[in-house]
Amino acid sequence: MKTAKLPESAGRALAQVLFIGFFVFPIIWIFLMSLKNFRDIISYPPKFLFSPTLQNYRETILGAEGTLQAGELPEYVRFLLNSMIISGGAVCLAALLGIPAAYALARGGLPGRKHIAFTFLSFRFAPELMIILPMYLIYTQVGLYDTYAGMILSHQLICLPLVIWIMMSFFQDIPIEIEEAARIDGANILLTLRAVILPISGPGIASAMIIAFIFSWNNLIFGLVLAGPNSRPVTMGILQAMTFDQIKWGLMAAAAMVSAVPGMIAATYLQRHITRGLTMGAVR
Amino acid sequence: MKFDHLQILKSGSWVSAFAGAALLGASAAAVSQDFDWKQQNGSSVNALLVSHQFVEALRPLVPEFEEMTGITVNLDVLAEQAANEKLLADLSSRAGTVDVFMTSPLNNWQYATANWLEPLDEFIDNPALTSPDYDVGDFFQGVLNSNRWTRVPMQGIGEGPLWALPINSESYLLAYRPSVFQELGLEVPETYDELLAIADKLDTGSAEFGLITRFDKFWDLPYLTFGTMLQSYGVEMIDADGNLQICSDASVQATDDFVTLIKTASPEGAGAFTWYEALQGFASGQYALSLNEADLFAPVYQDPEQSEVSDDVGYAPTPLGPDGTRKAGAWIWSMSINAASKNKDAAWLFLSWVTSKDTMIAMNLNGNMNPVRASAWESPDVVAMVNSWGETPGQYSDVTATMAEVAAVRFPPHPELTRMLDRWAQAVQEVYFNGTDARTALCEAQDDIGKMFN
Repeated sequence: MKTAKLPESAGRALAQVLFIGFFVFPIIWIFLMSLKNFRDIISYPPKFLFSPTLQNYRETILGAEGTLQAGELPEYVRFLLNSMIISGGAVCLAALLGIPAAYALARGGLPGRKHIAFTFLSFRFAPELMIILPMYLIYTQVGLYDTYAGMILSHQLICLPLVIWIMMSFFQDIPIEIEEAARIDGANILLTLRAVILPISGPGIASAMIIAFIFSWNNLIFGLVLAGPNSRPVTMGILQAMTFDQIKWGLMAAAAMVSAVPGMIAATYLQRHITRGLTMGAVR
Repeated sequence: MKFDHLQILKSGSWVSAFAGAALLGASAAAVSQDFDWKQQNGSSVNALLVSHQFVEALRPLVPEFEEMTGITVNLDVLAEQAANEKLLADLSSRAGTVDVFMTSPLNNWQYATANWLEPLDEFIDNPALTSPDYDVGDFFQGVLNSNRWTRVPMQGIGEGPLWALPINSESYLLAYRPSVFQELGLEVPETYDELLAIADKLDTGSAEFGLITRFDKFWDLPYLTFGTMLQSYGVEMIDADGNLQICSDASVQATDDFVTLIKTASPEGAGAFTWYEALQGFASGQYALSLNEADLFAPVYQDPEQSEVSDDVGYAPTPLGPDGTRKAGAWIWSMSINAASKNKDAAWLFLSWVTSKDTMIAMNLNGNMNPVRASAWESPDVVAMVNSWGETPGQYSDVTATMAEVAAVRFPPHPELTRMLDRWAQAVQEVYFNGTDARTALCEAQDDIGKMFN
């Protein structure tokens, strides 16, 4: 029996290594690329041994030498800050609006609440290109174009459905008896939500906000059309390494690595919450 | 030498169809000397630009303009495709957020048809808005007039309103590695026949592969690089009688020869090579020859920071076709004003400053190639820089002068032209990737393209 198990587990280990390699190799490759100078990057056959340089990171984070005026932040850093403001703001706003909405949809006796919930979900799967032109026109007319407020609002299309749907299934998981007990003690709906439901919903709220943050962070199209030089997010910053006649691979790799950091931190340290959030309501 | 170059470029047949187009320029000459650059003080201009050496050359000069005029300039620089998407969003919604933008005659055939562009003649003719030293006659007239169009599909290029001003121009050439050719005892080919004859020998020396050329699946293939070969084989998309020539005998011959060349001398997968592979591949020293690539890659090849071949590169004109003809495609980056702009006068002041003699020369020296004004080729600094490029002094200048003589936009102006050429490129791709018979593939493409005219 034991002899039969060994090759099986060895096979499984090998499969796991291959599997991990499949997902991790692109990241490692981009990381290596970010440490190469341009000539090493374009050399053929590809070089695995090279003298690493931090020049790409230096140029990404500190800006190319001699191109900055005093007190001016490098373009990439500005884009990074923009993304933090936009995605951070969008997630906070989505939580503020989405949590009460999710609670109402989960517990309230609203007629047609399934349709309402589905409408929110449809924001997620309707192609953004469908609404981007009308939004651009409206934004330029009311002065929301190229502002943080405008970007945060547009990102509600990404964040709000995620928050509402994750929180809705989370609230539905909470035994109704807890709420009934609160009611018997004389709490109204708002107090029940604030003092009873929210404290036990920490993991759900955290995972909803993290997932919404990652989706918002990775969005390109709103940043392309609705943002200008003042509020452009970091996804556009990575594209800036493409010039007319060449791609500055090293800079692009460094920019991609830096901008992946928040998502990686979120995914590693908060993994437990995320899987809990993703499977929430899956088995009932 | 310099003089010859200048004469050729001045009379150059960039757009052969309208050599006789009327010159402008004289009208602006008799104006008072104190032009009011401050007239739009306090306003601002949004410029949407494509990431290009032009922008890097322009950026450091902008504060000068801002100080002189009191106009604030917001440069918005994006990768080409992102810039095009954003521009389309702005133009088509008529939001007018973008005042001035980088474009080209080909793109402008679409934009002008939709009334999205502001004609520039009135600005040039208005002495209150155009500095007396602007001298529009100093532009190479062929280059300038490629931005004129009557907006009648299939005709009238070079006539009618001026929709844009040129900021640089590009044609095509051979770049080669002198050391490799010497090592193999080969001559740089002067005809496509000679090139075909040596194609299988090119990778037998120190170069990994024989040749590289841009060969992607989009309109630029029959328009620019392979287009240069097609035209030298006597192929134009439409003949004088208005018949499509896409599957003519000459076109089939050129396509077969092209695919044979690539299959013989390029690495696997060469059918997907874009600018990036072409430029970086040759600069990395993997190739013996770069076929019909943009002449303005030269500043990169010559720069030891970006290139392995900076001390081992030569230039030659594109090969001659079967009957000794040489023709070439042309690309002219230009700038236009958005018809929906709310700051057109300020936008014009910016555009006219960008395309003025002094600004242009300063940018040419900083990598914005090739010059579109005669005065730039007269500038000793520009001449000295360009003369240092190539295997022998002056080689690059001689080659670009030769190519300028034969470079032209030989396509019918039509708003759907890029879509038609995409279809053409697809046929060439089928021949390369699937081994489809060239005549079959090209005739199918011709049928499809014929339908797009209706």
